[in-house]
Amino acid sequence: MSPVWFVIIAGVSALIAAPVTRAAGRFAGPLLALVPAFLFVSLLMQLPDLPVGTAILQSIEWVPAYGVSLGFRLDGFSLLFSLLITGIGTLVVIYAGSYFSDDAKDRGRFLGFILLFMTAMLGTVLADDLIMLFIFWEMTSLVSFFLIGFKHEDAKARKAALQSLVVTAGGGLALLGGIIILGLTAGTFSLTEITAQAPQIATSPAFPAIIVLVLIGCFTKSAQFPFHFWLPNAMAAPTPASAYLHSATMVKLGVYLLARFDTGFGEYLIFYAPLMIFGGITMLISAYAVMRSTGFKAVLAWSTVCSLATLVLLVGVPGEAGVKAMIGFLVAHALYKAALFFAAGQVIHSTHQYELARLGGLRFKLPITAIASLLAAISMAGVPFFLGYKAKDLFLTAAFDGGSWGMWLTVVALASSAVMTAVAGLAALKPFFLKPPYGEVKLYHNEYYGMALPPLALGLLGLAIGVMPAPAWNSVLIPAMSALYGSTIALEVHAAPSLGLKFLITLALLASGAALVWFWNRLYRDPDNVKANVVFADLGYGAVMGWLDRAGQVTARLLQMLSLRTYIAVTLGVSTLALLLALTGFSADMISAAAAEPVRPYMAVVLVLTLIGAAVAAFARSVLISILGVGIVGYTMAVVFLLNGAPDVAFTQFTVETLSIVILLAVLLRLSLKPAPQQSLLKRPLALAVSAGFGIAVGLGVLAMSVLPFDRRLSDFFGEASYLEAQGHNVVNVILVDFRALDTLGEIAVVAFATLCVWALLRRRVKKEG
Amino acid sequence: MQSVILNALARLFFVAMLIFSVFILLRGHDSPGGGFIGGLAAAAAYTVITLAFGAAKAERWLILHPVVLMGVGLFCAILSGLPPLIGDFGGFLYHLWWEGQIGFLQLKLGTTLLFDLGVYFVVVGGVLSILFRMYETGAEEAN
Repeated sequence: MSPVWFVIIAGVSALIAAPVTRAAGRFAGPLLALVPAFLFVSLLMQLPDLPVGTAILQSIEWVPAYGVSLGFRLDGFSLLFSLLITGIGTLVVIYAGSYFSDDAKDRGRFLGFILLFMTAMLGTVLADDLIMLFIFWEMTSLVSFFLIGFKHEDAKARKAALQSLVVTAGGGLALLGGIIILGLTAGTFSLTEITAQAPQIATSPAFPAIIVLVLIGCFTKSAQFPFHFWLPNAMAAPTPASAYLHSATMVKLGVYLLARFDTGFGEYLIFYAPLMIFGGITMLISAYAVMRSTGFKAVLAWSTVCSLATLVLLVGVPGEAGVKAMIGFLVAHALYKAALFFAAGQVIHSTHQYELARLGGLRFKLPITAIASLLAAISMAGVPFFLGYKAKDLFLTAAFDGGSWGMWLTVVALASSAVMTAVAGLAALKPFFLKPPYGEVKLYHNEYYGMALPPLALGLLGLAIGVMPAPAWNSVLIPAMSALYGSTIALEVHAAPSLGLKFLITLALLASGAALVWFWNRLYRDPDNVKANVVFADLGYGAVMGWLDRAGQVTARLLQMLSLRTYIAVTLGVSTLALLLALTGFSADMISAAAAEPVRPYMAVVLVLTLIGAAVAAFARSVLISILGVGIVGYTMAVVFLLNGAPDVAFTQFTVETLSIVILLAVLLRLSLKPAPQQSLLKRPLALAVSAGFGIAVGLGVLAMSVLPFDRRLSDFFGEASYLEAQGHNVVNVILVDFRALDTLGEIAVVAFATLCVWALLRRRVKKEG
Repeated sequence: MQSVILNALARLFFVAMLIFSVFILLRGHDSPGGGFIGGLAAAAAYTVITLAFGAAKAERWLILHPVVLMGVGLFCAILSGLPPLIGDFGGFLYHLWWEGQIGFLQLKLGTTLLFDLGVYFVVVGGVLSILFRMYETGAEEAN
């Protein structure tokens, strides 16, 4: 199966998710999970076709004029990511089917979004063309917005959704800038070719700009300092979405793209130094924030920020050791963190209790979840015979081999590892195995199998890969490392731990983690430090948004005078001046040309009517009569069009005139606006001057137009081509629907959206009580 | 503001104007007319009903909500541009034609008609969504 089909199948499943859910009822989760499961198996079947160091490339022409194509690339690294996306996606769909078991409507909506998100993720990691990658990248941000704001009646969820969109889509814009500069510098948008040309690109003066913009894009997406705040807030999303988007997959896209760039640009200081510095800072901040958090999901979210930072840092570590550790940690984290989120969702769903401090003693009430959680936590803590152990081992190797960065790497590695061990203990042990501090936790419902089996599967997988490492490492992980590193990586993985310094450190970390859990109650009671919120919370974000609001208010106060008359006077005055300026060279010709035109008597009659209408509009005392006067002018203009051979325009003018009068009258009659009695135009000298001036200028303009030689090229072309190429005799219509159909489409879209806005603004005001 | 004459003739006007608007839409490719004018005429037909019997009745007769109608219109217009992409005849919105005979009826159909229908729906929906809002709001505030 070629790569494009993975995206197409996923996309179709997203479209049919809602109706299928309605039809399938409570079996919707397992039924829809067949799609990602099928994709997962198909991806596994690609393995034999992808020996280490090869890639399947596919390119479909899209916008050849700009060198943009639907370019796909399936290599070891994108295969690994796709397996994670579809594998965890399968479990998430099953899980969500149970999670939303009380509300069929929510379930369909949610599953549709999850599958749409899966489509976008697959598109991003399978993309070779950077423009295509960007489009899918932004699509993940959009779907994430809808999922965080899924409980849209909740103001907090809406705020978090908006925040994540502003941060990630804003960073996406920076990424787009970087991609475009990169594409212009390299002459191609293909990631494969760009990687091959990396040394030339690095000498270009645009190189620093490219790197900075790409880094901003990746840092926002993967929640790195100073953009780390959005991810913990994103926990407002339903737990299955948190597990999938905000832990296992989407937030790793930043890491994904950084790793892709690392293949070509990894040796340049300007690229890898920010990764190590910002990654390290984020690790320390989030490690501390974990210890201050009290919410079950908040603890997991901050630990996810810490893990993402670890990955960013490891991408930055030059050489083989960094790549090995990054891939190992990526997979281990995806497995155990998704499982822990799943378990947290089960606990919160059945106890309605969000605070970690109040949870405890659930091991007999939620037995499967407790086992799954325990398995995941052991892997997270890095206990031997679990996948997480090997990941931690590779991480420590990379940190010790860090060369001149060794000290920094070792410090952040040890600090964050200790905290991660503690989190593992907190999330897995406390709710299930420790005594509940405030009495028995009330259970609203028993364990749902649909929510208990997915984390168990992930936990067991972590154990299986730990005990029997060869198949997974040799066929998936090591090819992924090789694809990133650019040449074959040799790595022997054994189940049993090798004794030595690193083993001792691992034991020490376990002990320190245990100590942190033991003292956790005392640590988190540390009074809320407001100053710390500058770093941990979104105060900076709030300040920036506040400035934006204030800047908007200032400009609005300067430009919006809230007087329609002033607006019209300014618009017409400026137009008059511009017209007169353009007409300076015409005067003599115009008068003679106008005199040479024979007067047609029937036209004169029509124009006299026009004048009467205009006079009524100008001098009437009542707005209603004025509107009717304007209407007369409009109708007579339509007659003028008709008499001059433009029936289409005349027709349109008639209908538009009728409808606008009806609508205007409706406003006046029904809205009871009580318009102030209008003064005659003669008593308002400024208004008189503006309108008379505008009328004269337009009149002169029309005269000038009639003496200019008429360029017939376009009319001739359309006249001839209309029937031959577009099968229509009515040239106006043919231009609208065929030659310029894209413009028309744009216009009706604008009309529709503008109308939608007006329609929304005109909605009935909600009557206030009392 | 009830007028006996308007109320008596409104249905008649409505039917005539609506048929006329479809006629304008269909003939548009070869003679004066098309989706935009047709849409305006149809909107005018519903305006007559609104003036005679109120917005609620006109809204019922429209069947679809005017905002939904705009969406349907945009959908039609976009849809009309897709066929050439599937068969690789040309770019987006490259219109295709089919000529033939069904019984004694000589037909010439193009994807332009679907496009024009889209324009028609957007115009009808756009005008009426605002008109209905005005009359709803007005009726409320007059009470």
